[in-house]
Amino acid sequence: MMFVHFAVRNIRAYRNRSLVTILLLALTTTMLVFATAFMDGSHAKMLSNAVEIYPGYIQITHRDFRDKPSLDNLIFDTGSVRRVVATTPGIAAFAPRFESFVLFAGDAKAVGGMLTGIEPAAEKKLSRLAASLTRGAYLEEGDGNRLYLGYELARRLKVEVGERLSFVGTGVDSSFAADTLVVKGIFNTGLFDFDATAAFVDKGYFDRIMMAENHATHFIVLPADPREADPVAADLNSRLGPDYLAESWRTTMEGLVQAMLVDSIFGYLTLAVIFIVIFFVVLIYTWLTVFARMREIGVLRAVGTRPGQILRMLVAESMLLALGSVVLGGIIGGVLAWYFHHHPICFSFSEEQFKQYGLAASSMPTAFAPLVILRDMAVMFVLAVGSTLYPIVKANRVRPIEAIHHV
Amino acid sequence: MSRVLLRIALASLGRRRSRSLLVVIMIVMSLWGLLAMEGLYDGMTEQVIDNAIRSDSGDISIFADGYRSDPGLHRLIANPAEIAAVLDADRRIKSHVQRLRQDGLIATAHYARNGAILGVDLAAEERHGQLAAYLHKGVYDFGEKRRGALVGSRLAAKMKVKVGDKIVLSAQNRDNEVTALALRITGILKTNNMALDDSAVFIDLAKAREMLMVAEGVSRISILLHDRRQVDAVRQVLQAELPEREVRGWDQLYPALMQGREMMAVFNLITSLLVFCVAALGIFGVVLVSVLERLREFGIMLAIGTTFAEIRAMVFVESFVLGLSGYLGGALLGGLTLLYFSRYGLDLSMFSAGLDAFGMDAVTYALIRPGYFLTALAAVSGATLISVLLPLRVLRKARPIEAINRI
Amino acid sequence: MDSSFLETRQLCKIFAPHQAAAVQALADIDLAIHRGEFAVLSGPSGSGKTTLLNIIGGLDGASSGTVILDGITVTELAEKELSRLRRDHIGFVFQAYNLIPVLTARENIEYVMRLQGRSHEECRRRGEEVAAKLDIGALLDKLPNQLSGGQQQRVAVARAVAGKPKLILADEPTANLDSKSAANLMDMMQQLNEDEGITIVFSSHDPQVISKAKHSIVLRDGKVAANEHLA
Repeated sequence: MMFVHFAVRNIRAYRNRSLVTILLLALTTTMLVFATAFMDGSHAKMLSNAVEIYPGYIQITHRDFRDKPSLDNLIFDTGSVRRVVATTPGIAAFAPRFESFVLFAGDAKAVGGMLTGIEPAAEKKLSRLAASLTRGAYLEEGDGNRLYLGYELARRLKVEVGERLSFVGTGVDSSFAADTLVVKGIFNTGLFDFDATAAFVDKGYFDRIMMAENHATHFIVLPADPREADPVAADLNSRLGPDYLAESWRTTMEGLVQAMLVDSIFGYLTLAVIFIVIFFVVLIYTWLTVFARMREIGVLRAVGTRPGQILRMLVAESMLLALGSVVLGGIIGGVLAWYFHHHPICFSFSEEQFKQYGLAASSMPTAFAPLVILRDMAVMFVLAVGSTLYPIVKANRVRPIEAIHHV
Repeated sequence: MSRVLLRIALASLGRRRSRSLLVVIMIVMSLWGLLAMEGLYDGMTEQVIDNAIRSDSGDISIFADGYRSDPGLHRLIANPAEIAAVLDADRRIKSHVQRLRQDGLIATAHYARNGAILGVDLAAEERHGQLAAYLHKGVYDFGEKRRGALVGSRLAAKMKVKVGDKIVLSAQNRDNEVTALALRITGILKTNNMALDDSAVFIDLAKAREMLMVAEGVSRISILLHDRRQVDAVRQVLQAELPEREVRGWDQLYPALMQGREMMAVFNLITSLLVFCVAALGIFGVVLVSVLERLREFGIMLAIGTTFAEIRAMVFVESFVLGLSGYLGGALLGGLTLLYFSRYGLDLSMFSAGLDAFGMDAVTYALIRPGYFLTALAAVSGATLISVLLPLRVLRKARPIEAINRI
Repeated sequence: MDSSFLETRQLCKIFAPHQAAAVQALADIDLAIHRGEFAVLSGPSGSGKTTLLNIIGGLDGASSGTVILDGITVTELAEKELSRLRRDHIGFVFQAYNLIPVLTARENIEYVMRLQGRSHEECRRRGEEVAAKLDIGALLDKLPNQLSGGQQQRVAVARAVAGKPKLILADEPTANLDSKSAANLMDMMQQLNEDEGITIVFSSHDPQVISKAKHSIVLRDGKVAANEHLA
């Protein structure tokens, strides 16, 4: 305990060094806590956006569909899948979809796109399609040939709500399928590519035209807790048997997941460069104060203090400083993370970029996760104390007589 | 400054060898990290830009008036030969190619997707942007009867097609009638230009003319310059010479990439500023202590006829020797690192799915710009200068002569 | 003899003049020292010896009064001119630790001459000449911390003399030395005074050292208590 007392005295005596050290370490901790919160938060937001707008947390397909998405590998019996999914625990909602690529033709132009049959009521819970409505109205069951399409696709086809267009596609039996559609609503999800190609009709109508009764390309499943997507998918796999494959978003959107990882890696690399310099400065300041106290250390040694005791005193000092700084930085970083969690940061200036990468978001919340903040604080504490050890050990090796005469 | 003062400056650094070394190492590390980071990040950014320019936009593109907001076969450049003559006359222009484009549907027996049909002259494209370098699989050739097609990698992946597979392209021809053309995939291109990889099917220009019933005229003329920095100047000249055409620079065609480059520059600047501010703090601490602990020494030097200006010069020399040694070490290590990565590249193929999502190559080649080293030199000098000023003020105020009589 | 080589007129020094704790360190000091003299300032601690030497050498300013050195009014010079004056015309020796620690004895001795801009050969020749007189010729390549106190002080004297100043000011040069080294140092300084004709003013409170001087000035409470020429 005496060492702590001593350490506190010294921290106060060498106020400038203490101040610089605390400020630097607190700044570093704030930066780390905030950068982590920002990266985690923005990545989670981008992913959840990308997942929730349309693809969904879990997809069930025929086992060969992902490798060979042909009409031979459809889900041919939606009823049986429906029964299995309905009895699986931990699932909030689910619905089948049938996606088909067709050529849309307006008065002046033909544009390729994706026509999908959906169950409008169930889809409302599964994706943000209904919420992305900008003009007209969302679909309802029994809507017939009424179409709900992306704003960019509508722009390209030069059609408005209430206007007609036609499509040409391939039915499930590989027959030629074509009909006239009427625009019911237009949506804007913010995913540029999606808005430029996607269009939806009620699945009842779709099934008639495409001869797709009881068929689907895939099911979308929303787990009660999205974080449980992986175990729920595993559970579904065991219940559905070998003919079907349930995959969570981590697999279906592997590219995006990895992209976020790459982004984090570069983020941490940049922080590392900054941190290395900061720790050098902390090391240098510790060095300067420890050596400025050489005579004092010599006197302490001369009156019988053991090197171990001096070591403990100096380490206690740097631990106290580090603790203070880390707590201060953790609080500031935590408050920032909390604030921007509730007031997302706006990135209107880089909208173009987000659009290019298909990330439908220009405002990013930070993640506020106390455990992660504590982890970052612990990391900083260890690094901070670590960077003071070298000068402390080095100073302690000097013989008492040299220390006393140190100039 | 007299040699004896220089000698004192150097000897004083040597007297506190470990301390001086710490400062030098600090600067070396920070510079090394910053240079490596800057070169690699710029390498990434420029690579993405270069891919877009070579594969698509050129440094400058020429379109028919109104084509960009309403693309189609009704807005073609009718007299490409005349424009080619204009371009050939400008010596700043390295090469130019003509392309015909129409959006349409790409289909296999079971699967269809919308895409961009691009009629090109492979030999001319190779001379122009070395398109063959982007060949991922297969051959860079349309075959003897020119019934081959080169498909974008992401499009191929989505459609699950490989080299040798048959695809059918359908699109509206000049008379607004849907025509189809069956081709065999001879190669797959991976340009990492997402817009292209996602949707492009390159076919022979003559075949495209035949299919789309376009005897003459092209959608776009893409131009490469000898020096990319002249984009704006050349663009303005061409626009003046071709008032009936849209002449656009790559930065106007890919605003997201320009934005990305600017954001990277800002990001690098902020990081560098932060690092150098912290490093300046480190140098400051050491200079301050080394000035304060030599007060008596300076007092005696002043007493026996040294001027304050000479003492000041000496302190400057000491600091700049530290700063410049750090600079040399850091520039050397950073330069070597960049040299290595510019030659062998940084292989991140383990994250290739993530990099693809960003449109980045799996192997990043670092850039080495003389500017990095000049900016770093200015930054180190600036940091050193700032960190010396305050200690010198302190020195003047401390009245070193009075310190002579203190012991 | 030139009577006005070093003169002080009505010299006053007050420390912290505007505060309650103001101290009158020197009061109306009138002194005249002739060229070539070997003069001593003595008196108890706090009598003003160091302050007087500092003002004469331009290290400190006077509150009022003037110092005239060989026709130059020292008390009117700017900082830069003072530096030049000290470099070219005055040599200093202090109580202790007054060598530049990173320079060898030779470099310390040559330091002032180098500042004066003398040639390498001249510095070397003169340095060795002075070192020989002070009996430190064998120690020239050692660093200060390798020398004893007496040796260091002889190097300091050599440095003060080497630049051929008109005046050497020495503040308690023997205070940190044992009596044998002290006597030794004083003998050498006396010899230099005679050989080179340099005026030397030093302070001391050691009677043995004081007795070597030819002109004794005694200060008490900032005033001249005695001023006598000895035989």
